[in-house]
Amino acid sequence: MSEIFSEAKSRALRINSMIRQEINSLITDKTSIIIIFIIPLILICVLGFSTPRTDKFATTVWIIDEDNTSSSTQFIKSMQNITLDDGLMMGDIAPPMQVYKSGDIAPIEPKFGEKNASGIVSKKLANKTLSTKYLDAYIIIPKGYHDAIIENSSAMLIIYYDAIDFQKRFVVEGLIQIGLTQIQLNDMIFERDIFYFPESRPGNLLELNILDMAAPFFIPLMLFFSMQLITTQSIVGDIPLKRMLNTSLRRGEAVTGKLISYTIVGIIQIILTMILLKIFNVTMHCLWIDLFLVLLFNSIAGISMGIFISSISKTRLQASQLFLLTFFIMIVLQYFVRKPALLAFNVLEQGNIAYANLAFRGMILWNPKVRPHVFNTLLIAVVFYFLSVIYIKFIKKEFI
Amino acid sequence: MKIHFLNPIIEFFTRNILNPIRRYFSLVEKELRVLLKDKIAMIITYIIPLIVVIMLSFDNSQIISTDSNQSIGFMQNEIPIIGIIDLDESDGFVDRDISSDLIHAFMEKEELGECELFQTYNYTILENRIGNGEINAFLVIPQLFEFNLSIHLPVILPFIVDSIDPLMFQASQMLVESVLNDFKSDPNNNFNGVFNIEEININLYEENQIFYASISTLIPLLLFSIGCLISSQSIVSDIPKDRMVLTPTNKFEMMAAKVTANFLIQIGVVLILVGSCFIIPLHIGSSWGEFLFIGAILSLNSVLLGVALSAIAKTPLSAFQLYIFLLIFQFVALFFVEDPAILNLLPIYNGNELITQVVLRGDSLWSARIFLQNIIFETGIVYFLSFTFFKIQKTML
Repeated sequence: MSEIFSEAKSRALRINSMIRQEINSLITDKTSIIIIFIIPLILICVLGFSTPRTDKFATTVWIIDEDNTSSSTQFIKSMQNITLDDGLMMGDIAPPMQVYKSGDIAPIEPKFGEKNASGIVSKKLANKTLSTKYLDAYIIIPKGYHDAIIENSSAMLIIYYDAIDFQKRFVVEGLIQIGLTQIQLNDMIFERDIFYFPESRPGNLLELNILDMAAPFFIPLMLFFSMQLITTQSIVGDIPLKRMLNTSLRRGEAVTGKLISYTIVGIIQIILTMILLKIFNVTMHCLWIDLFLVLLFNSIAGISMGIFISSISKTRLQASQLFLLTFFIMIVLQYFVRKPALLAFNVLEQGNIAYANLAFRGMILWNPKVRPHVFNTLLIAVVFYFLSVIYIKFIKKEFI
Repeated sequence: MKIHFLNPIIEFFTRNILNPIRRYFSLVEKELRVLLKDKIAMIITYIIPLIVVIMLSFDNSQIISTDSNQSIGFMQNEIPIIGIIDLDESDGFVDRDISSDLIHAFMEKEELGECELFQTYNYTILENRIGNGEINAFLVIPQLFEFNLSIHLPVILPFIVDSIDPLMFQASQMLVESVLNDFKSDPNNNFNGVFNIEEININLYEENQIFYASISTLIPLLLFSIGCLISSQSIVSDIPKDRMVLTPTNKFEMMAAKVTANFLIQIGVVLILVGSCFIIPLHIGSSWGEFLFIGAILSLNSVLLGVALSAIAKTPLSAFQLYIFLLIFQFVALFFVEDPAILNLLPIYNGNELITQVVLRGDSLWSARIFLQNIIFETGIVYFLSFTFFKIQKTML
């Protein structure tokens, strides 16, 4: 029995000295320490001081009037004067829409050498300009519009959209829909129709700053990848480790030592991040400790994956490239491919959901809507930890 | 006599022009050998863009449907849970209950596996459920729904969406829009309102919409991340450089060679990306030559930024950390920062605009010159600053 205790004690002592050595080497590299803490500081400050702007989605719509009647003129006037500040689309931050009618002078794509160019709005020019950035959609009011409105309270409109930029395509469609609704209300033209207007919950979400809106996505991502990148260099870049393994230090202890020492650095990074979030009044309807734990497990998963990458790499460059490969695979899976079976093992997705449920919904860590995501993150951390130990112990030639 | 007269000129030419050029090419060769020596690293370099392109091109779902009879496959993995409450007790149509018909339309979508429905008569339950994240949205069929439709008046359905999960927000909205559009245009209903709209999408392709939508962000991101990563180790990890300054080689030649070698490696990545787009095929508005040119400009920028980081950093680890800071900063800023003053500084943002406007739209390089200018200006300044830093570095012998 005493032998077991003595073995455990000497093992703990070895891991302890490994941690101290690792933290000492990290602390002596002042640039590393500054960068680890500057990353959250700068990113959080940039997002915290940013306010939502919609100029990026400013749209241009041309109206080609083939009817030339009082009704079509009224339609164009109403479209030009639509107000987008009535909360119909993204609260009070709807992007501006510039409307030009047939015969107006509108900006078009300049030819080589020209600073700016403009042209007279016409169907032919609209067709030519639609695929450029100077026009997002054009509406044709066909002949007979006035008569149709008077006779049936219903008329045909043809809308051409530029579908190259999908995001802008949906924005301009939404803006035109708002315009058409307002025309009906202003001009008192009604026909049976079913409208729906989205109202968001929580209702004050649109009053948040960019940092608040981005936090569930950005905080786990930043902590995960910054810790993962640093740890990808932890074994491959540790020259004395090979000599140390000739001492009584075991391979598994080296991995554990690295995991714990980088976790300590991660804890300091998380505390700094949470203090900054508090300063910027980012929504946190949950216990601090719960959010801290979610972010901690997220960082540990990053560290654990980083150590594994470092174990299997032969050079520093390979390690960082494998990091990059992991980064792209995780991002593409999370934002583009989204296969549920794979998402369950994507730490970014798990961290994102757990963070949102804790901070915005005010849930606790043990809630069934948070617990599985935390469990999955921990599972990934444990799996990669054991994979690293196994690889270093049995496969890594340099260490055997 | 004649030869004797030309000797100083030849000597000057050899010493100041020919020898530096020779040294430069030898250094480029040496740098290329160093880079290509790590075969696994090179394989990973070229595999990263391939894996990303393959993953994206396998998803053939459509963001905007090109066939009105087919439902959109985009976001098919997001199955929203929609609450629905029918408060309408009014009459208007003979032998029909319009609100029940609308609920039935949602039930059909549920049967197709496109959503889950939760029906109740208690509004508070819906509010509680959406607050707890148990449903993603709920639709209220208001009182006088059927009556107003019967007297040719429009009706407004309150639609409450959980905005905490942006993807489910979008999926819920798309589902409700699809059900309502089908319901309104059903010949038995014909609730099409005042404006009967015919929508025509220009430049919409049936195949590879997801690839098409993501490529403008992913190409600059891939080129920056790969180019900057490799070149961020070029100076800081080059131990023999300290001895090399004892030879006639000067720091300008050393840095130019490092930039050239890394740029040549990066051109391979550009060729893989552009080649994959050609094979898939991606419909582009520009010529393939312009696409290659933009890729080359973005690569040069990423290599120069990487070399600059390498010149500033004192250890390889610091260089990696500076790199990850730049990468994460740009990645986050691209999605969330909307201030043009900050965005114009980001190579990934400028690259994104160049790919969208020139490559996809087919606008001329002239009309998108501002983004090109930003990149070239930034590249020039970064090269000058990094060379200055490299020259005054004390770690050199």
